[in-house]
Amino acid sequence: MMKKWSLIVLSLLVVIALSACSGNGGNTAQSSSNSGGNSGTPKGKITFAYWGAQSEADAIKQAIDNFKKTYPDIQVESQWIQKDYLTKLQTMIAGGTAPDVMLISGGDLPGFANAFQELEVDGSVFSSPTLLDSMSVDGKAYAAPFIIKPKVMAINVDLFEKNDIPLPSKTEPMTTDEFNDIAKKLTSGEGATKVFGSEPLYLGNWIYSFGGQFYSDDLTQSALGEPEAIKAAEYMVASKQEGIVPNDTEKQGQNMMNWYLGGRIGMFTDFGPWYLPQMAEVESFKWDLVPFPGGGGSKEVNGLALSKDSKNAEAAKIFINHLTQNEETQKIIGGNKNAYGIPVLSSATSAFEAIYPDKNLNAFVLAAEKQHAQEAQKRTNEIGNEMKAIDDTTPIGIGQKDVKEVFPQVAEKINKILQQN
Amino acid sequence: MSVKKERNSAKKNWHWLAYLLLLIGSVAFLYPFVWMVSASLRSLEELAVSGMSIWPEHWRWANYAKALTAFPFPQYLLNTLITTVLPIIGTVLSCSLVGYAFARLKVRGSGFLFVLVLSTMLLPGEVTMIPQFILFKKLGMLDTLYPLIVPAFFGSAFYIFLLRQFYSRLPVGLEEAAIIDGCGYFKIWRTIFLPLSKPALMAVGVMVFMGSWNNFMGPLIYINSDKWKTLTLGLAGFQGTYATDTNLLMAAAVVITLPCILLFFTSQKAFMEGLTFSGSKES
Repeated sequence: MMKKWSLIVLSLLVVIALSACSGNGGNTAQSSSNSGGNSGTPKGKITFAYWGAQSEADAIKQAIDNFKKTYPDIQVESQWIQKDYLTKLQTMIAGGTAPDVMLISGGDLPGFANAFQELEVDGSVFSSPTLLDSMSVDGKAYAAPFIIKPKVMAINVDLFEKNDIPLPSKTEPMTTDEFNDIAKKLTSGEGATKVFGSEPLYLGNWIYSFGGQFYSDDLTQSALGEPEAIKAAEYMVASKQEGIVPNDTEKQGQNMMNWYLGGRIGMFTDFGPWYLPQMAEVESFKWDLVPFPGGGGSKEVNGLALSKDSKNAEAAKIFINHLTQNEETQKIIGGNKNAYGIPVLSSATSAFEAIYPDKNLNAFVLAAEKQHAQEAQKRTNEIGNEMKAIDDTTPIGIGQKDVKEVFPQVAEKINKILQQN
Repeated sequence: MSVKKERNSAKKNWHWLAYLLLLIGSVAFLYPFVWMVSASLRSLEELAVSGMSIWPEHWRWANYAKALTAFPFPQYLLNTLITTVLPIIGTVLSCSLVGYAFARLKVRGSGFLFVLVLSTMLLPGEVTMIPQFILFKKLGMLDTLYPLIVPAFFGSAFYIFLLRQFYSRLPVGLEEAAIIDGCGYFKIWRTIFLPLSKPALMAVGVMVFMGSWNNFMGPLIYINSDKWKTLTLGLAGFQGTYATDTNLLMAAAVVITLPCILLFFTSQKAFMEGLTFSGSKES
């Protein structure tokens, strides 16, 4: 009898607990409803999805709060997706529950453009006319530029001073030859305490230092077979052979930023704004920022896209415009201590520079205007598979084949993929 | 007598070697956890240069306060507990019932049905993710904890298999005696098989606990609102696309891992018994 009662009580507990799990949540996923009525001003709820770490999410939440102050009739339900953003986005789009507004990077935009509405955006309001290009596919804008994440070079000032090397210009990028010379001078020691001129160079940044790029301007042809790309590749191979960057064995399983923080890297070239909060804590050596050598590096442009299935598109458009073109909001997002990114409006970049006034954050601002944007294609996975040949067969990675031989072959294979588009 | 002594001393020598091997193994397995605790007490700069060392120069207990206040820890903990305890209850009840049926109720087609259930184990999660998402959308259960709980009440092929194997080795005499005494199949399951399968059920419970407590993809896909998020999502918040707050991540991870460690030490005996089917010995 007791056992029967315990079974009934257990069942009741399960039912009660289950009913407590939903609350009003059952309806929250039914995203937006336009209750705009006849007033003409859009109202109602919109959903906004974005990725990032806690610190990045905090910066975005501040921008959302600012929007809510200006537009109290539009409720914004934020969907912060901590990790695997694209997987979740794909699932939501496939399941018909896409958020009204989605944060998207220029690199991922072509693959998702089908799920977005075309937007009318005036590219001239932004700090660089190329920003809108990063948000466009076939000449149509599918997102509005929201924040920029360029690359600059962080230098260990103490190592420069110790080796009597004059500090580089804060505004003019050093040439690739100068970079090579300095890297050689900074390199010293052997084994576990060896100090390197730089971390291993990354083709995605250095190809632009030599005037090359991954695709032709109209994105229909691979440009990997061009002399500029090959020259960049040869430069990278030489840096490894000269021992001024860690080789494959030395870098295996190691975090190069940790090496820089530990004083084993003189110039850290792949330096994005996301490293700034970490660097702010550094007390053991002096550091500063300078432009990327050879005017290279590439910037990631993140934009806000509007879902094709949005039920409250007018309110969502107001939200997108406010976050991307309102100076105060841009200052909030750009001026966040967590260095979320560089504002897309020239008038708001001062807020970013003010985060760490004693450091040359202007290098980021200059890069945001001038740097080449990440190049994007729809079939990134297939192209990525072909690109693996570079690491597998040339000395850029673990292979032995001449880059002059491999790069044109890879370009040809990528061209075949591009022709299928 | 002397032969026996010699044997004992030879055994002792081997024991020494066994203890040495176990000690090496323990250090190898314990080191990552100790490193995690040590990393949770360092600054990012110190972490970058510390290498293999596990003794922090400055003990930064504030990392714990910072990590646990970075997200609504009590809320996420409650959600994690709900989405762990209820699936344990659901899995144990549903899988033992189905496992018992497959082990004891021999009807035409039951073998085929069992193979059919087992074949669902071959389906990768990625394949069922979107259909399942659409299913829960149609049920109006998105952005609730239901998708993380309800499936457990409908059985899981692996645990059904585990319990079916356990039940099929229990003596038939127990069941026959119960039938003679007038017991129905349901009562036999509830009053005889469930109590006898305690070690196996404990093993299933521990495995479901580990799976649910550490479940990341489920909450990621189904949960949007902060109020329903779980601890694994809280942990992911310390990892950016390019940079990670490793010390805070480790501090939160230490706290979140503690229940798993506690559970392991309190239930390892039952867990091992369940997995090795020691309850299946016929007397």
